Amino acid sequence: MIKTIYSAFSKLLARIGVWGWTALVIFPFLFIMLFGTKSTIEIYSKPLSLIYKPEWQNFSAAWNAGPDQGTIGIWFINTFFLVLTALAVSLCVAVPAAYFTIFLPPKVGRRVLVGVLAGTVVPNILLVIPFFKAYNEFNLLNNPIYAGVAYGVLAIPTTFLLMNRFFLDFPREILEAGLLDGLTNFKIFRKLVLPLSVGQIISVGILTLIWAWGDSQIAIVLLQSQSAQPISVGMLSFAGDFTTNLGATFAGLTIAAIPPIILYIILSKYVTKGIALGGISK
Amino acid sequence: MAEISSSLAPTKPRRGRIFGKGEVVGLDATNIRNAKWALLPVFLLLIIFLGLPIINSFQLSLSRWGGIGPLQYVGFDNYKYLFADEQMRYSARITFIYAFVVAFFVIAIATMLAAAVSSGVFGHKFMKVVWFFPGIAPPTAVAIFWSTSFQPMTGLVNIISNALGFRNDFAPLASSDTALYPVIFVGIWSAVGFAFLVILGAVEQIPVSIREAATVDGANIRQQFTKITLPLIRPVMFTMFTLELIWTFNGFTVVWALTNGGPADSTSILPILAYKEAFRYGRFGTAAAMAVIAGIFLMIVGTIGIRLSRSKQ
Repeated sequence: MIKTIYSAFSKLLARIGVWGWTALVIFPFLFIMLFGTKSTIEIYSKPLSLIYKPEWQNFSAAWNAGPDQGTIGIWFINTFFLVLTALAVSLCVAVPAAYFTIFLPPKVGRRVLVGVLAGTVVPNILLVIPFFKAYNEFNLLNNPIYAGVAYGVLAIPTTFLLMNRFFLDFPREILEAGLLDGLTNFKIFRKLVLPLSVGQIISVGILTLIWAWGDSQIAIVLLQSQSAQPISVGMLSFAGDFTTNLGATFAGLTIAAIPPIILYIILSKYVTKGIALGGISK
Repeated sequence: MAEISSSLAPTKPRRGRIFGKGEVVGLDATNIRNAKWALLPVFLLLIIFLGLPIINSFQLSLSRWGGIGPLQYVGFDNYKYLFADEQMRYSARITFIYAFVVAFFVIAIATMLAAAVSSGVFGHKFMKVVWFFPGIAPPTAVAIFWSTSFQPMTGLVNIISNALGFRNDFAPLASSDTALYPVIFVGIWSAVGFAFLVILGAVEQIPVSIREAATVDGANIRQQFTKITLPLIRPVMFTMFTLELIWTFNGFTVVWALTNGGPADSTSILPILAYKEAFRYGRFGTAAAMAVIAGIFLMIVGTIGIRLSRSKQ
């Protein structure tokens, strides 16, 4: 009897716990969207009311914030180029290397992996000032593509390690069949291995994408002019411009936060897999 | 990393060439040459973007530099200055507190959530997707949201607290004594999702047969969790704790967007203090010295973490 009460009680507690956390996680985003479509007066007078006339003007006010018209749009484009460059650099360099490393003799392969693993423990705080100095000297500041290269290189160790682990488990029979069919080693990689690794590459790429999309520590240093900034850095100045216009601030937050969430919902299968299988990203 | 380290022992490659009768002994040894060529850009880029900057950081930390012009060598002056500096000591202390508290709660909450989801609580598929929202939204945006939420009267936290009949002048971000609490809260809130997915991945790798055996032996859910699940996922939890510690210690975005390090530098963790020192006050030398102190500590933590998680296997 006591045992059943105890187990029912702990079940109830677990249920309250998980739904409580769900609420804590989901409500902020609902409120961002709610306040983003409310006029500032209504946010102050009836903040929690769900019956209101949507104030779409907030979005145009947010879009036109900053020194130039459509600054948020520019931030989006900058983010896009930065992330795309980071993905291109990390995947193009790390994926072939991770594949061909599986053919190295075990002793050498082990040394390679330790060397790459060391790259995962270098903290960003050590890198930002030298990055700024070098980018400044070579005149590469304020260009999202060059900043994307830095993000891409920092993502190489993780990409390499996760892809290498995947290729080690790759069925050798397929590779050998390709060899029998007269394919060169490079063609085996391109025509057999790559098409069969798309899922894994997407999963690993998403880890890079999430990180490069959200990080501001490196971008704030390499992209100081407002027209070159990605959304993660641009938003920082944005909040200051709108301390009085709460509606527009929340419209801006909606524009920044909701697209990645929608993208994530569509790709959640890959994201979950990518994270569960490695759990190590920058 | 626990899983990655298992890849440190590559399966034995079968080397050799195709012998007569089409018998395949292994893949062509030219792949070894390919590996060398493919690894060349990896190590070249890592040396340029990681190796050289580390050396450069040390060099800068021994110099005075205002952002332009040549470096002026000053020996260990920057370090001497920092070890005597009150703000530096305070920042080092709160960075430790912030990183350890956040990492601890993130792992604790993530483990409990993973246990609940793996036991098939109602709605677990929905929760699994939703719980990662805070990790996927740009940290800047969520931090700005929380910073408006903690405003007195008009902030969401106070609106809800008022609606529930409590006070609405709760302003933790306005005072140096309390500003660290919301920073810790948002740090935990935004990091749990990732750790949850990693730990859940580990929980789901436990073979069903082990649990079934435990059920046959009469173990209840709680016993199954403490006696079976927990010991088996401990290496992953440990790795995740190390990573979370490093990321939080190194975390710039959330704190910067939430408080700018204020009020009165009360939430200036080391990455923020170093950023301000360099890019606000133009003292790149002392900033580099801060980075070196923090960086050495983090690399020690990271190396110990990797070693321990490897030896636990």
